[in-house]
Amino acid sequence: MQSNALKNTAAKATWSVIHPLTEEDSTAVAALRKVAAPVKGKLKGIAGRGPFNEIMERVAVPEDVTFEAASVGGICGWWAKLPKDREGAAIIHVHGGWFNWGTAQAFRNFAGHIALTAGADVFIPDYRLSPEHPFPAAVRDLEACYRGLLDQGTTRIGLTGDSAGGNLALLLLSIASAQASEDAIAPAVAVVFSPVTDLALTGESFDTRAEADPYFTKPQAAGLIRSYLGDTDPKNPLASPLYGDLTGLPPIRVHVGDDEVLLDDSRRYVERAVTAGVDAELDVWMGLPHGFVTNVGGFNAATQALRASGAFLADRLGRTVR
Amino acid sequence: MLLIEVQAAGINYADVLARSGHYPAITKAPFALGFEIAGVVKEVGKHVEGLTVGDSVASLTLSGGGYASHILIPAATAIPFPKQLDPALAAAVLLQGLTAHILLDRAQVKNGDTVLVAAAAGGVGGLAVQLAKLRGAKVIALASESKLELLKSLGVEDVFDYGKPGWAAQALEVTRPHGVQVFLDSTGDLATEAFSLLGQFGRWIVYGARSGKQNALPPDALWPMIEKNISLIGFNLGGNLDRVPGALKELFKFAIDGSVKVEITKYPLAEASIAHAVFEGRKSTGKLVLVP
Repeated sequence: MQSNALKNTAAKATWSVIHPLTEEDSTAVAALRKVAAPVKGKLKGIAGRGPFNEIMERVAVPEDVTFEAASVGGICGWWAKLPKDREGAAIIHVHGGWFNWGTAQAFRNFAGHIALTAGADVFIPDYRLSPEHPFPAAVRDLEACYRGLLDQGTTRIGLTGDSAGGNLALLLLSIASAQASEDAIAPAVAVVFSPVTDLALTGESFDTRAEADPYFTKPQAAGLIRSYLGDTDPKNPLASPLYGDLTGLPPIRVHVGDDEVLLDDSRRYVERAVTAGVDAELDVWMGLPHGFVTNVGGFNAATQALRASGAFLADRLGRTVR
Repeated sequence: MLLIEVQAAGINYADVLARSGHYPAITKAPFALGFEIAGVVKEVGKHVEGLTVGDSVASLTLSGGGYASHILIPAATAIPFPKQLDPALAAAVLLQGLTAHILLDRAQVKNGDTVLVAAAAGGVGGLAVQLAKLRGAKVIALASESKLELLKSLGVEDVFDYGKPGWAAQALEVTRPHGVQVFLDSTGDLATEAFSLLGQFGRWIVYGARSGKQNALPPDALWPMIEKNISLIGFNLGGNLDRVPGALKELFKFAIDGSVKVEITKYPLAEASIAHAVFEGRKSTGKLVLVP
């Protein structure tokens, strides 16, 4: 129970909401830590792809969602479709995997849950991965995918992304908003989960949360990012959304676990967005690790975060655009 | 100022948040946690009256610093407590006990009232239950089912699981015909089912908000509020500090004579990180106190 007296003297940032850990989630996280401990920091390079996809494929199957393979803007991927879709609206979910791992297929179930909670169909593009296709291949693929959706007549587009997918979703948000015109409508909304916003890895949480993060270490992240960036300066705004000009962006919501080396990637991004006048908010989930939101049914916090982000997406996508 | 030798420092969720870097006013390490202490006066500054070396005092240390062997505090914030009171118990009833006590004052709980307490098994809730019973109220509680035995032992008449939609319909049975006079609400969900339980001149007092559960007051609550003369009251301890001395005196008395029971687990100050892990893991019941 939070001290009311303290609220007077130490007002929390008004753009962040802190969610206490529930008893059930505490037990679930403890169990997860035991499983993750032997492999912490060890998943690297292409060898990580198999195990990573396996984990994502275990996400609970969403009810009443149909999956369709498709190509949007020339980018292959999968649609997660609802029985009754919200015409003219769609979401692009950019999957995570540190730019080196992950497939649209492996992320279908998770995307299906986003579709259900947001009330809109979700397309998951298979953007090109490193090391075979380094920066900026992934960014270009997502631009093409976005244009493809616009060409299909979709006018209200939401962007979502998890982890490295959050990086790419926020970059796409900036690019598409900057290019907005009468023919190229800007995205209506973005929600990202534990985004990687700073490829220079300067976030303090790489140290303050080093022990608490059950999966990742700084050297591991650095290796994966190197294979994506090559010689590109990590502070290039096209690589790290944290260093971009955030003025004029549409509403953004970010969800992050407190026990993540990436905590400060989320915090700093939202702080900068708010300073730039963006309608941005951060939800911090105490005691939860990276990727908790994909553990649908396993964590209370996952259900709550999906519901909250879904409601937010549904609200923004329901509004008509000019 | 007074120099206090700390004998007990209470752990609160605020400590966890500050430590995690979620209080912008306390952003840069190093800083010392600890917002409530009990101890012994070691030195008395110039111009301080009414207190001497050797006095047992408790204090709300709102700028932190309680997790220490010694602390300097303004004399005005020092509240004496009787020697026969265990300092750990004194610290344990500070923040949460004061919140509970002054909440009941503001809600004007009196003999014969029915009081509904949210999060009744929590720190403030558990103390509010006991204090309400001492004022002659009938108490019904909102908590998870696993807390049933604990709450019944505190004198709670009925426990409802607020996680189960429709719980209020069951509660209506036991609160007829006068309904609930006071609802102590830590959730801040203004669309709560509990609203239907409020009786004439009911006081709904909100002292916290569970993030993620906040909803606006539904439009159809307005006429019942008008018809039943219901008050919706916001409460913050910070604005009621003038009531602290009187409230604490009573709290200390109850703690000494056992009318109010607080389950306390003590940890050595050096094991603060362990205590935090226990606290954050939600494995503890009762109050955690650090002992230097």
